[in-house]
Amino acid sequence: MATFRRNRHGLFSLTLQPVEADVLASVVREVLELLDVPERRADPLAEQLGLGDLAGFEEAAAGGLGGDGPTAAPDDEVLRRLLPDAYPEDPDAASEFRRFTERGLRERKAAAARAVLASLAPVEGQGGRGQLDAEGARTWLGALNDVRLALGTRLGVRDDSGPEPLDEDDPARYAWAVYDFATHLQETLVRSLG
Amino acid sequence: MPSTVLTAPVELERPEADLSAAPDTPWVTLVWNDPVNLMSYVSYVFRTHFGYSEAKAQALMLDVHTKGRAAVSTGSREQMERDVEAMHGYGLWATLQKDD
Repeated sequence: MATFRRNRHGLFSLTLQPVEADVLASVVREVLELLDVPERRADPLAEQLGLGDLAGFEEAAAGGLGGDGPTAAPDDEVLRRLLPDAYPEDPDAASEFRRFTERGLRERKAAAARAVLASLAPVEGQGGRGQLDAEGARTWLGALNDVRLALGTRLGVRDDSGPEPLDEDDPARYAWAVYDFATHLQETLVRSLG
Repeated sequence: MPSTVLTAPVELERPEADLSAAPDTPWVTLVWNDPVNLMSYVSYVFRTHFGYSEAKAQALMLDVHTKGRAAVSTGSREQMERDVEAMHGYGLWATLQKDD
């Protein structure tokens, strides 16, 4: 199974079989779709001037100040796990916190997912070896965790004991295999990061 | 210092209740156990975000795992909201509340 290793140059290398690259890209894409964050076109001049997030800047200037996000927890169980309530016993405070933070949280998670997809693009469909620098490794670590949270929530993972015995043709077998693969990648990556 | 002379009487007149109702009542960030997050990852997050030592991060992670939750930071409400937001960014299940 594909395993992260830190090489002597301090880079994190990974060799993926074609099917591993495709499965990983597909599940990251699913998380990205679930997050539902429109891609912003980068403004090169704004980036050069250190105004990376021009749209956010304009929202703030229009009086939003980032405080115009959603106030209710998402309906979807996976999104509720990715974007949890900060004040479980105080619904008003939870709404207020969400209004100011949820959009940014979704954007950061979506940006990580997009970065992983970009680094997978060269190996998708054919497999191959890739390398990540420390920043890339940290981005992958978070995105892999989001993938595991999403799959784990859908599968109803309850403890460390693993899946109930499943029939050969149970579609959950595939999801469990992907979950285990993502777990292995994350475990070897976090160990390599030290 | 001259200012001490001016402010001292005011300090003396301040009722004690004011001190106990200070606005900086400590809040805590709690991280809750969940069946998905890897123990190694949780420990990594505590070291990375809070700058905790390996030993402290490991102890907190084990508290989360065995006791169901652990208080991972203490401070003002604003600071704890920032920590909770960061924990959510890492995918940890975190909440904040007044320290009791």
